[in-house]
Amino acid sequence: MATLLEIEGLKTQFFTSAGTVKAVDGVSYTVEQGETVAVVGESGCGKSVTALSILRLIPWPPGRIIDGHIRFDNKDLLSLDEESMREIRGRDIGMIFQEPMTSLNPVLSIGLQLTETLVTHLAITQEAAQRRAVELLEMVGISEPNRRLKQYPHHLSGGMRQRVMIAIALSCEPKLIIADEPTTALDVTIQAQILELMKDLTRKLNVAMIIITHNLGVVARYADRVNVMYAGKIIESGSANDIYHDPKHPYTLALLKSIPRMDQARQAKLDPVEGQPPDLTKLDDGCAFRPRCRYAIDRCNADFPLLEQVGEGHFSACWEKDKLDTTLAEAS
Amino acid sequence: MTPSVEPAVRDDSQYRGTHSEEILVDVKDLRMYFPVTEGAIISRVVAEVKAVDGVSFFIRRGETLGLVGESGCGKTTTGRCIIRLENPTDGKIVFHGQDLTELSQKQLIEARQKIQIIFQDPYSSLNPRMTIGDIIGEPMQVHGIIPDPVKRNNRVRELLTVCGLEVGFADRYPHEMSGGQRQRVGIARALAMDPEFIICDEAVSALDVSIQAQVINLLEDLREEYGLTYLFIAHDLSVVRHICHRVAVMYLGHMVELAECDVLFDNPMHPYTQALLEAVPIPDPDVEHDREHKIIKGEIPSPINPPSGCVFHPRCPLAVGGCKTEVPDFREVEPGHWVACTEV
Repeated sequence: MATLLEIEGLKTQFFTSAGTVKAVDGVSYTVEQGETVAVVGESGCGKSVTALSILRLIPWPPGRIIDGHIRFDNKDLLSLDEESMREIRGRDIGMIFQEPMTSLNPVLSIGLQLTETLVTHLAITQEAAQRRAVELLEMVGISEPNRRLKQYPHHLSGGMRQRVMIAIALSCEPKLIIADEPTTALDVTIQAQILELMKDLTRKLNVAMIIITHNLGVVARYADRVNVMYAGKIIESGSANDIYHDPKHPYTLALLKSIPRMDQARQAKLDPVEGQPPDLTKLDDGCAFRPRCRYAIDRCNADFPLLEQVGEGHFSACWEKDKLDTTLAEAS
Repeated sequence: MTPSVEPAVRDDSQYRGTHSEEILVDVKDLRMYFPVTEGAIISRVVAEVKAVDGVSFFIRRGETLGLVGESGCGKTTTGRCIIRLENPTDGKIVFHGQDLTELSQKQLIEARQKIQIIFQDPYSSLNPRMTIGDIIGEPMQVHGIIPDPVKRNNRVRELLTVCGLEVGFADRYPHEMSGGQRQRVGIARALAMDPEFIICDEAVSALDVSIQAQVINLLEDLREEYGLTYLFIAHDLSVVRHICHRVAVMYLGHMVELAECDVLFDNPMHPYTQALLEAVPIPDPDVEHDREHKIIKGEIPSPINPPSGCVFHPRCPLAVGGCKTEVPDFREVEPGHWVACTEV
């Protein structure tokens, strides 16, 4: 497989009156062609800002990408002019956002929103775009596509709107789709439908996907590789199996111990990480997780641990990574 | 139709805590219909949303009953009816032998001291202009429990400590706190009235997983310490399995299944419960790899115009001809296990 996307040393900061927020602080990862990569972490860990940085959608002011490289399909995205960047957004890289109500324009018909993308990027006629739009709606499982094209977002349910978003994202046959919490706003039976649809379509069309989520179950079901983020940095990265069965970072371990399992009878009480995530304006040189970490040593105060290989394709940023007690409270 | 009392035998009762056989809350055939009106000046009722349509269950003292289902199934409305934030259209809610639906406003105020509610959104359920101390102290002042401000302040500080917050938070405002801390304030406010029964309406849903686990543990500790009874309304089935003794599943205003927690999760009988459990992804790639993903088709119909007969029949893989016309009874198919389906 060839590398489709390569992010290297990305730093995105927001300059606010309360101080500089280091939202993304030296993130590097790659996405191979046709692969599904998950980025997991809790609110404010920088997972969405990383995705917006790839698309260069960070609003200035107050935000700015201050360092790093993003190579996509042999192009350096950070040095492209705005015009060429617009050609990539929506054509080569599709986007699916969390809130299908706010990411579709409420005053434009579904048909217009779908054909707009097609006409802009593929330089086809309105009639051809119309035919393609019908095909796309059929592909994402929307019945009566001709009638739906004339409808507006408020006529559709949340699940239907997310199907329309997927149709728009796939409309120009992109190489990569970035899905930011695509099913968080949906009910669980609808979530299962949408995720299954996304998996089928990305496999069939060989589209790579970055799925950003806080739901560890979704990651286990759909991701090939997983990046775990905490306070603007990737702290562990590996295959889904590595992350779930052999975690090598105390934060990953703590996350897994914090979630109850629906498929097993209840055992002991949950074993959560104490404390709160750090204030991103007050980060120092040490490891950001150390105030909440059970394995912290003196070295963690001064030295930030870099990602180091712990197995094939498995990396962890922790000085004590070999000393973790990985017997999970609720391991099967 | 009142479910009979079944002795609950659990091997892991030491973890979830024990409960007595005494029935504390008994809900009988609860109905809540909201009118849909049309016309701005002369408004008339054109339809009814049957948010809750004939729901019966009971909760034992010291027990946690989970109430699960997807959006619009009526689980939140059920909770709001019990504490009379809504006036139910029909049905009985017996608490301590008293039917809450028949109480006058004055009697209700008294009865409500023993029933409290914790809301989902810790951002909108705390008044941004009040200090944390005032938020927690207000119910004690209103109900005249502790009229003396100094004593009340001491009690506020005690409650903050019980809920894992520093006493210094009493002088701060909600915006200075994180979501998890605010939810602890919501819990402290509920505890201020020394309640017997707390309705947790999606109380941990808005929190990040590490914070969610802290709050779940707090709720469990408080249940043990004060002998509380919970109605735990949630859509996250993993959390429900962890915290609840028994679980009730709702769909479109109806209760479709109710059973002991492990029985419901290990042996779901109603096709909707089965579909719901199937849809939840398990955080283990091996389990997910071996699982057959049967995805249920279709969406939840509108409660304004619900399907005839069994409300689940348009999406049901087991549906037969009779399901279109016949409303299935909520019947006890094995001791303590209730299912509303004719095909089980």
